[in-house]
Amino acid sequence: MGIPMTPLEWGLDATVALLLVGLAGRILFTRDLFEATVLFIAFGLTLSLAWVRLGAANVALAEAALGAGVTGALFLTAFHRLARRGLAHPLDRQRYRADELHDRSSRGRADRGDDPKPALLDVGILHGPLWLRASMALAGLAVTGGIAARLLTLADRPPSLPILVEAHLAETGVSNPVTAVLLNFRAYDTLLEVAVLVVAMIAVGSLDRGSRAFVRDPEELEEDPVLDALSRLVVPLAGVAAVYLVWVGSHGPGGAFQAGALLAGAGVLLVAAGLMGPVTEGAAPIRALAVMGLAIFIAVGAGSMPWTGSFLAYPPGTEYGLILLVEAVLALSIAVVLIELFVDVPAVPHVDPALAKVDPTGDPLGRRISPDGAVIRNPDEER
Amino acid sequence: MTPLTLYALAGAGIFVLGLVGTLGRGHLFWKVLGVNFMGSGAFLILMAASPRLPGGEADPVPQAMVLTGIVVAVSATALALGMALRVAVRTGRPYLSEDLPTKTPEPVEESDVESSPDRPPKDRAGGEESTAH
Repeated sequence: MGIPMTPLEWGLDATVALLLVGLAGRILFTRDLFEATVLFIAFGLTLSLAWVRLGAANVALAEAALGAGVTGALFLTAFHRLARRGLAHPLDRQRYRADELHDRSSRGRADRGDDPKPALLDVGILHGPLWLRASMALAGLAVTGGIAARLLTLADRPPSLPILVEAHLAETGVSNPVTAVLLNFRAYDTLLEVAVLVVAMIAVGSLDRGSRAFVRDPEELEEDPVLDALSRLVVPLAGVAAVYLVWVGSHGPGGAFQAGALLAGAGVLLVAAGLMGPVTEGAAPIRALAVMGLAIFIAVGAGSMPWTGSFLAYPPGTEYGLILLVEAVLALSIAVVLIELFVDVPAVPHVDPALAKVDPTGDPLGRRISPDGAVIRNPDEER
Repeated sequence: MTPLTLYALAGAGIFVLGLVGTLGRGHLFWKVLGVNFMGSGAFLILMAASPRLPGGEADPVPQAMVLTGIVVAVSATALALGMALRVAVRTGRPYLSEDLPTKTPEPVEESDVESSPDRPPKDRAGGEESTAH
C-alpha cells in the first residue's frame, strides 16, 4: 500500500483479517448448517472488504457478487432442500420446522412430534477421539506455521509483472489493467474459464435428468409480496448496472464477470420470487445463450488469425471493439450459466423407480406424506 | 509487519482451517465449504504476497487470476453441492459411506425403527451400490 498508514486504517485491516479467520473457524466448526450457510455469506462480504483494502476493486466486485452472492444462494437453496427432506442436522431441522410453523401452520403442527434423527449428527473431527482431534489441531498449526514462516521471510522482490502490464497497456485497447490481462494478455485463461462454466452447467444439469417433471414444488415458488415488490424494483436497476459494468470494464473496475454475476443475482432473485419459471424447460434458446459467449470468444480468436497469425490475438486497431463485443456476450452467457447452476442444483435428484413403486408419493426417504403435507413416520426408516 | 503481511497470514489461517474442515468434517456440505475456504485463503495469499508498485493498486495479473479462480470456484461449488444433494437423497445421509459413524456420538432413539415387509431391503449406508442402476 505504500502510503503511510493511520492507526485507524491499521485497526480496520486488523479487524477485517481477524474477522475473516474467526468467521472461517466458526463456519467450519459449528454444528449448525444453517448458521454456517449464513455466516458463509458474511465471510464473502468481509473478504470483498479485504479485496478493497488490498487495492483490488475488480476482485472485490466479483467476490461480493459471486463469492458471497451466487455461492451463498447455492448453499442456501441446497440447505433448504436438505432440510425439507429431513436430512439436515437436528438443529437445522428444528429451525426449519419453526419456519414452517410460521409459514404453513398445518404442516408444522403435524410435524412437531417428529423427533430429529440422532443418526444425522455430524461425524468427523468434531466427534472423533481426543488424540485425533489434538493431532489434527497440531498438524493444522504446523502447516499454518510453515506457510506463515515462509510468508514472513519472503524477500522483497521488485515487482516485474505490473511493470510489464503497464508498459504494454497502450497496445491492449483498454485502460483497465485487469481487463487487459483477462481479455488480452491472458485471454486463454479466460476462454478456458468460460469453458469450465459451461461444462459445470452441463454436468449439474445432467445430475438429475428426468426428475424435472415433479421436482419443482409449486409451493416453493409461492408468491411473496415483499420479494415480488423488491425484485421488481431491484432487477431493472441490476440490468442497468450490468450494462454499465461491461462498458466501464475497459477503463475502470468492472467487466464481464462482475456484470454477469450481477445479472445472475437479478435472475436468482426473479426465480426466488417466482417471477421467472424454471429456465431449463424449453432449453434450446437458453442453452444457445449459455454457450454463445464461448462461441463468440472462439470465433473472435480464430477469426483474427489471418491478420495476426496467432489464436486469440486481436488485429491492431480493433482491440477495443472486439474486447467490448466479447465482454458483452460473455456477461450475458455467464449470467445465464450462473442462473442455470442455481436453478439446477436445488432440484431434488431423480428418485429411484424401485422406491417410487413402493412409495407412491415418491419421497426418496420412503416416508409417506399425507394429503395435508405431514410426514407419516415410516417404519422402514432404519437407524 | 504491513497490512499486506497481515492479510497474507490471514490467508494462511483460512487455508488451513479449510483443509482441516475438508478432511475433518463428515458432512458433505462442510467439505464443500472447506474447499471454498482453501480457495479463498490461497487467493488472499496470492494477492497480498505479490510484489506491487509503490503506492499502487494490486498487481493486475494475480487480480485476473483470482477473478478467474472465483468464477471456477462457483462452478465447482455448484457441481459439488449437486452431487452432495444427490448422495444425501439417494442414501438418506449427506455423508460418504466411509464417513458414517461406526459408533453414534449421541444416544439414538430407535423406538420407531421396525422392519417393513413391503419394501426391498436396501443398504442406506452404501451410497455407491444404491446409486447404480
